[in-house]
Amino acid sequence: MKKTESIRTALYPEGQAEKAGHKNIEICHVTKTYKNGAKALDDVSFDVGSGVFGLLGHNGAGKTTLMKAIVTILRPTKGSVRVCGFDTEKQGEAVRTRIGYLPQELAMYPALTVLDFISYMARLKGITGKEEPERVLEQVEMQDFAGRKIGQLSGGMRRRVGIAQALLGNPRILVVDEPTAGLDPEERVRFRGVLSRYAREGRTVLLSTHIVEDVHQLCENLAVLRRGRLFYAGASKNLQERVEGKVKILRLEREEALAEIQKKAVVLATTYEPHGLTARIVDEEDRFHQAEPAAATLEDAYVYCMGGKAYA
Amino acid sequence: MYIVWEGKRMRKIWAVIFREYKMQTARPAGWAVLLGATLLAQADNFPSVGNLRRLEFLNQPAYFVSRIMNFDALVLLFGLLFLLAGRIPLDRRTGMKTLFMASPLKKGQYLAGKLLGGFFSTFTFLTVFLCLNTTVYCIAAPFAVSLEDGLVPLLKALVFPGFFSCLFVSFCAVALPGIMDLRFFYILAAVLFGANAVYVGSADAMPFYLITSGELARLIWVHPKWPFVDAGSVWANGIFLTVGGLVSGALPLLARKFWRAE
Amino acid sequence: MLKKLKGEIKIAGANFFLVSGAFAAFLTALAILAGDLMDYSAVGFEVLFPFYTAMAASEWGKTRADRNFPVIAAQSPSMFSWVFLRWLAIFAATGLLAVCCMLVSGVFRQEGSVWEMLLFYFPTAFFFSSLCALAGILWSREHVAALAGGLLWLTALFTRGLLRFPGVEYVYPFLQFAGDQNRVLVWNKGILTAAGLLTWGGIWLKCRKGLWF
Repeated sequence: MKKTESIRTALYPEGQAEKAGHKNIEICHVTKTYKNGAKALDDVSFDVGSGVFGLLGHNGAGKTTLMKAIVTILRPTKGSVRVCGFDTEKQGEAVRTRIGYLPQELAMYPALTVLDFISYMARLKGITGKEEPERVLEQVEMQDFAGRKIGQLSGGMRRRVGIAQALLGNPRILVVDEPTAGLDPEERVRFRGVLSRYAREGRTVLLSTHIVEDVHQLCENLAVLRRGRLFYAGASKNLQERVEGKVKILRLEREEALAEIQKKAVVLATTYEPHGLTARIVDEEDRFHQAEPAAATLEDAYVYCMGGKAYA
Repeated sequence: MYIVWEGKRMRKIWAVIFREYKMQTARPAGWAVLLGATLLAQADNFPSVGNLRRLEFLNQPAYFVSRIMNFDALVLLFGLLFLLAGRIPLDRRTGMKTLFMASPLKKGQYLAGKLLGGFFSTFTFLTVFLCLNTTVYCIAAPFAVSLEDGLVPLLKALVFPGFFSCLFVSFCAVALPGIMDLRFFYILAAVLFGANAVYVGSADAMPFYLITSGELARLIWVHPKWPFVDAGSVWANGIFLTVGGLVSGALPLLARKFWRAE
Repeated sequence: MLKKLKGEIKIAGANFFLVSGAFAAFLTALAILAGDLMDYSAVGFEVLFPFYTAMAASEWGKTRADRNFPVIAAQSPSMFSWVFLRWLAIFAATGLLAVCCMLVSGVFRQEGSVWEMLLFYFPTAFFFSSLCALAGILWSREHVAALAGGLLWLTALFTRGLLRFPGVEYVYPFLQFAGDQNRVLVWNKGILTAAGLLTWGGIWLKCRKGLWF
């Protein structure tokens, strides 16, 4: 086994992946069909370079399945995933040493202290010494809670411990699944800071989330999954440009009028007010001249994509 | 989930029973245990020429039923015990218990639903096990077996040791892990089941603590040389299984921390 | 290595020690109270303690059923060493307790030497707990490993009658308890150890394959 590993290392030494023409993550025609016949991913292909990359999609769109395939714990039915040039199926060990992973639900061990847990995870990653656990705790501002039992931490602090364990060993790729779900605004901002700092120096952070605001703040590039299929992959701003100049705000007196609007435009959001309601719409064919134009956001583009005419 | 919060008390209990029953009977592991016990029963008692020669009374359907009840049903119940034992700890871990406690459901209703759901599912598995094996025996036997010959011992097995064993096993398995460490419960159960497994039958009255092979099982079939059934031991066996089950089932009611303060 | 084992023991938590202590106390009480008719060393160290070790390995040494499994599987270069260390921590702790119980029971009972008890215990416990470790890596459902180990243990207890067939005595896990008429105990325990090692070969292969869902 050691011999095989040394051959692999010789082929793809640390940091040589991009020089060899590889993107940090290459997803190539990945399909995953479960035993019950459900297709979680259907011919998904895209590449992820350095920086923070967002993965958006509804619940059940296949985001978590794709992440599991990237971190080597799920075998695609068809297609392949390469991380830093290593095939996740054939060279799993090499991939795992280059990946930090924070799943959506991280149970941890409530009886352990924060430092014990981080040290334990460090040992599993083959990292010895106290310096690395202390460094990652500092990175997530948890050094003052190192001696506290995990069972006594708040939800936000647990997420920070979760991200700290993923940062151990400075992995080239950081895969985080819904890291900010359920956190208060302050914690969310803190998380964004940690992730964007980390993504410097050629590293990749793959961020799966429902929260479009997080993607907007952090990601230059993103992919949108819809029912297991790739809908969009590319620059965030390009996605936003799709609705640029088409977003309008329409004031209505009666709710019944909304049904009529929906036939002619895509309604992004509605707000009920004492005297009627306000609808945020994408007016593709410029039919609603009485509506006020509004600045388009990434969220508008996303909602438009997920429910727009393009997918009807 | 079909809890009807505003209904009568029984309706709430039935909702919990139905959910428990459905979840237990839908678990592939339960059916795998049943299949394993069936294979074991057939390997040992299939009415083949060799087995008929080896086991003197295997040509009697009552003996067959009594034998699979004594040995193989114990394996089945042991497996089901493992599966049932996690029910309350699972509710605790998944947060379902908090949901139940936040609802108008009372501790007794929750517990009764859990216990009875466990009992019905265990009894279902045992019934399927006994019926399946007896049917195979009746069809495969190289001699004619009348419907009555097959049915009477089957019903006796279901009513006497079957009902009481299921009550004991399911109530203990559901309730005790609610108040003690699950692993500790496994050890206690293993000691009891182990003692049952290694006990060698005798002509004398059987010990009261036997789950499927106690004196109650002698009501299915008695050895022709020792046809005596000790009534006192039958009662002792029945009382041990019933009271043991009911007391274990009631213990969480006494545990203050088991439910919200009322 | 010692640090890693300590970490695993910490994860097992306080209940592991409480339940293990209660079990050891029960066995000690059995040693004191049981009459001479009972072959205590076989019942205690060939039948009961190996079962306990297997249960402890499956319940406190969870691998795939551990809720942190995805994180560990995704980031740990070698799954095998994690599975092995987790098992080893529990096996070593229960083994130590078993040896203590053997020494204590030696004071109260004059049957059998500690060496014999070690021979009854270690191969049998190794075999059952290794099987539980394999079941633990194959199934992600909680308690399935304990269920598999428990059923095998009970079935083995039941099937003493199979010893009438030639050759079964070499693989029957409770040979001393059932009566070692042909004096093949050492062979029997050797084969059980080999079977345990084979099981670890299976675990190694499964870990090497490395894809879990």
